Amino acid sequence: MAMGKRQKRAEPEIPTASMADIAFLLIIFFLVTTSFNQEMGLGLTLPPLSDQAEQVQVRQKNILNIWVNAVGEILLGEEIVSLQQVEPEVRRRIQENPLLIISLKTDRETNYDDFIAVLDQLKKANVGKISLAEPD
Amino acid sequence: MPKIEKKQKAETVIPTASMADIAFLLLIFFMVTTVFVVYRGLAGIERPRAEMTERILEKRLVTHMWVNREGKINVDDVDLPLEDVPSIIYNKQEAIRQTFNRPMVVSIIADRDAPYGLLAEAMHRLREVEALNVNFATGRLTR
Repeated sequence: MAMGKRQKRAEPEIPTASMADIAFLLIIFFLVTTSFNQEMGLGLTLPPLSDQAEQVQVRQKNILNIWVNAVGEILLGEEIVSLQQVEPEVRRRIQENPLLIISLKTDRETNYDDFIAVLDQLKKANVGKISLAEPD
Repeated sequence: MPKIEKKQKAETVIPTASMADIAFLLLIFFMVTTVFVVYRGLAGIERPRAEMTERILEKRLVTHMWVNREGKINVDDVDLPLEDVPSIIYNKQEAIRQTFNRPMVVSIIADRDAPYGLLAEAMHRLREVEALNVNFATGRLTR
């Protein structure tokens, strides 16, 4: 038996150079797919209780009352309006009188949804001064 | 002239084998140190929708108040009656004021069918303890 030249064994190697790429790819994947639940809403600043703040007299003509009753009907000033009419009407009145303060009075039995819908319209009309009147 | 043997240059190699370990270590570090505070709140609340919905920018200033359609109130995962709202809100407000020196925001997460009277009552309690920044949680309405 002829002794063959012993073949030199190649050293077995696991390529590790691309492991970094894999790890970074995983990081980037999770960075991109992670979504934090955003908190959304309509912001409003409540007035302090009247005994803590100085009472400010507001002229009646500078107040626009909006009532929302238990079934969601809207009374704007003296007329009943639909939800879609609130924004243009309020816009018009503010243009006439920039000092106008909107007082939103909602019935106790009104659904929260109806209240939010009107508040949304007021925000859309860019009303700066919104006052939430307490229900009787 | 005698031949001068050129010195063989050592090949420059940057070891990349440990890069993976570094990346995984970073990943694990951030996974371990990240803390999410997620309140469960009350179940089955359907938020109203509004077009002017905005994002709350400073989440750390927010205290959540859930109100469901039966009129149950829950503040940051504690069920409580309406009478206890001022005291717990006051404590939270003081804690936030001391930590961040900023006013707290109360996010009111109420069901669309919740009665407004209860919410008005709750807002009155908030005013009692001067928690005046409120936010009505809404979903975005797209037209």
